[in-house]
Amino acid sequence: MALTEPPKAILHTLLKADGSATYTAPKNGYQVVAGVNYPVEVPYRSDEIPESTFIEVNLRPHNGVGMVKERHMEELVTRTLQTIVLGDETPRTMLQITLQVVNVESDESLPGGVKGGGQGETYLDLLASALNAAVLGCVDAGVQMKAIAGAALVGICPDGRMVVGPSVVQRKKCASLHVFAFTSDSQTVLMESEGKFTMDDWKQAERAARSAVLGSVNKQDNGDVTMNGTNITSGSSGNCLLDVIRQALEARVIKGGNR
Amino acid sequence: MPREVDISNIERNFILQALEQDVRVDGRRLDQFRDLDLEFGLEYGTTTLRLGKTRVHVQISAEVTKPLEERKFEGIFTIVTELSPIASPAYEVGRFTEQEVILSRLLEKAIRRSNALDTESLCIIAGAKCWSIRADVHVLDSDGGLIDASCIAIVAALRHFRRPDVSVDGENVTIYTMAERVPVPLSMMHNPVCITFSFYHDGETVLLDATRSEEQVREAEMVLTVNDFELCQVAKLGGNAIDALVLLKCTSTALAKGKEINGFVAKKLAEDATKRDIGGLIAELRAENER
Amino acid sequence: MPSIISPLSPDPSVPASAMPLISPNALLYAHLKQSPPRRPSSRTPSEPRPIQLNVGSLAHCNGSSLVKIGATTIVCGVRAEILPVTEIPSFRITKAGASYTPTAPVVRDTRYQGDTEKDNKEEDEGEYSPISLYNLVVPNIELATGCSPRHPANAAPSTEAQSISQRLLSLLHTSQLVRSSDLEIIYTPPAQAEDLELGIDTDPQLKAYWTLYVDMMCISHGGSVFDAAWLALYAALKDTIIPKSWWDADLEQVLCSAEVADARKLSLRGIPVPSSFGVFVPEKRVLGQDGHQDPYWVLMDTDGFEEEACAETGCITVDAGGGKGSSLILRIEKNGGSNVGVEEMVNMVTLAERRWQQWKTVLDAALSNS
Repeated sequence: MALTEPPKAILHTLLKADGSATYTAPKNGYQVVAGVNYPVEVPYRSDEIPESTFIEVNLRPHNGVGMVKERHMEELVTRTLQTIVLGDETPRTMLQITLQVVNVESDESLPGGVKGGGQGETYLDLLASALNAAVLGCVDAGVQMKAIAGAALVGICPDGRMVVGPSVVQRKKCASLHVFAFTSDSQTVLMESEGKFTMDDWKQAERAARSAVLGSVNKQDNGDVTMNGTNITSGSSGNCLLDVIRQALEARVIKGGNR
Repeated sequence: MPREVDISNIERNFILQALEQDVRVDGRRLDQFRDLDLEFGLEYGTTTLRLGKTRVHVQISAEVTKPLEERKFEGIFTIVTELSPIASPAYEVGRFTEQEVILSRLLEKAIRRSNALDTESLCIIAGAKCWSIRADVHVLDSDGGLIDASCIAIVAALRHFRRPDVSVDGENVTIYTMAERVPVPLSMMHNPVCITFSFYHDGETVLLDATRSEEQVREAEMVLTVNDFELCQVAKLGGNAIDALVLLKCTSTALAKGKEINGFVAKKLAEDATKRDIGGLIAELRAENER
Repeated sequence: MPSIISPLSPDPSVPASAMPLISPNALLYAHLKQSPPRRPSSRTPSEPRPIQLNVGSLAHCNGSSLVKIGATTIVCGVRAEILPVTEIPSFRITKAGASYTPTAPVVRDTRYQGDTEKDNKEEDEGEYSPISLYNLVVPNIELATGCSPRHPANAAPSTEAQSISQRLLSLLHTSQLVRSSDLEIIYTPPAQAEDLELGIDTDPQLKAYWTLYVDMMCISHGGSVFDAAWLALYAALKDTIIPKSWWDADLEQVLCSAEVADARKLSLRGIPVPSSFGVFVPEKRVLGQDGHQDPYWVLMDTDGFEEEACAETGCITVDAGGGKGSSLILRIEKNGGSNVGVEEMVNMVTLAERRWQQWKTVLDAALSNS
């Protein structure tokens, strides 16, 4: 499913952190800056894992301090990264990821005098962007991972229509919201769905998210992958999340970096 | 716990020797600021400021709440600065370094206590409802000049921010959404700018806008806050003793620099306003087509 | 305690009671690789534990419940307090009974209307329901009670506690369980007071809200705390009674009746029932000769021992109230691994529906007894 305004990713946007990235959600939604420090010493001895890397994620909202909702999102991002990061390569160290939300879509219908993004509101919209930013930051920092992961947000409208990367107005009207994260070898590492939906709705949402993240992939027998529609110049269909990550990496590596 | 790398003796001597000849490592003049760039986000009150390699992001948000007991006729304005590991591995979540405490206090004095934002204008119903404006300062990249950058960014963000419109009818208050009525700017009394002066060689060399390496080798520093006409606050927190006349000369430099920076911020705000206006016009035309 | 083995003894054996402490992974693998697979508690992988429920036992709460699932015990109490709208700073005057609708009317989702007449009359909460805007239902779970060695008493809320809190709040809001109309206290001025000249009209006015504080305490942690906590919350809300209340224009405050007969229960929307699961993947060194395979087992309703051995966990929440075959799914979560995909999840819906039936029976029995 082609996105009208695809997500954007830029690597190495910060200078002091070991690795960094800026991820912008589709349709100019959330913009999250990720700063990754790896490998660093674990501050508290009790947190140190003898055979693996301790992963710490800090998510900081754009207004206010992080509370229970942010802790839960941090836990989800940590658990997802634990499945792809090869922790055994750097035991007794810490992978420290800080995610800062810098831009949100303005919600014009928000009741006056109330701050958006309260604790009772959904966390799924930010979760997909946070996870993508974290993975991009890890790529820039050279963290050893067995696969790249990417997440997509899908909304199902009351009339049954599926929207990939819904805007803030569309999200409020959706009957259900879904976040799926897939690795580059097609495995599902995160599923978060809330709302009211049937199993058929859910399966359709999963397929939509899968094509938004992985595109239409053909796997050959020898393990090589042929990608459809990775026509960078035309910029039309086929701009899935994995393509965006690949292009960001190429821009960083081939042009020699922006040091 | 990772600590910040102490500057090496070679670097220290190099910087100091170059300054003896009035030369800075990056080739700037002694009173020259690094490249200043200001970007505004889509939402009102979102600012990202770049001062050389230092990057600061400020977000202003507004909420309606009950005013404080001892200040029934005023609104609430808070500035929150939290240095996180994103700016440098030396910062830790939840632990306040000395640098953070000083930054926070100076911004308090410069912006809150100097009444840059008129808190009386934030009152809706005395004793019952008022606006609570919150400025969140996020440092994304730390390379010296945090105080200067944060102050400029906060003031620019406050000037950029629009709060929802309110109408009071006796006891009934109607707070309009952004869609119903055009939001209203905050009432700013003046625009403070913090300028940090760094002293070397017993006060003989004075620098503006030191980078992190220059900050680590300086002997003393002084933070002056100016608006377009006046001096708002002075802070010399320890460090070597500096001759009083040298300090006095700094004030005129600060005033000139402050005016220059405020002019730049005003220009950027005007550019952003025209960008939004065009968007508004096009949106209007589109609505007519739909009908 | 392992006994002291003499050096001449040829076959040192480990007592069975020490196995879970030394190698939980090996123990679980040994049980599950039998056919048919069995868990150490002799349940099959898809078998949940029975649920015990007791409602109304706390005398000072508006509603209460006690849920026991295996070794997990949760006590829940609901307290109702009055919140006058004058104390809500961001409250906006609207006509009574209507939710806040600043923009054009929301397209109502007509696919999921309830069967009962009552459901059809009450609309959905709309985009900004007062319950989420003003925090009218506040769930809170306390795990630091010494309920397990990993949760010592009086510590700061752990990550697990915060996650469960957030998930409970999320499910509460997205399922729209509580009706905001149940919580409104409305005042209709008498017709004689109408005076159009002075601007006094006799439209109903919203004067205050009931706020429900739902407090849960985990007495014992035996795995699948989220399931037990939600069921306890649900049963307590079902048991809750709100006193009859009205606005007195002369005293300018809300008054309540002390008569129990006048009190009313809440009319909740639907019956969401969660089913947690864990995915057990044996470690490579435990697999040994079978190392070329990649076995995994999905265990429904993990107990404390199994929960610690499963890296990948998840939960599916269904409401099968609409009759067989038309289950509504309210929440699906899965994280920490990559073994469970679409097919496994589809299979789990059937198990979740069975769990729903199990809960419905227990709930009906407990409510009719109280």
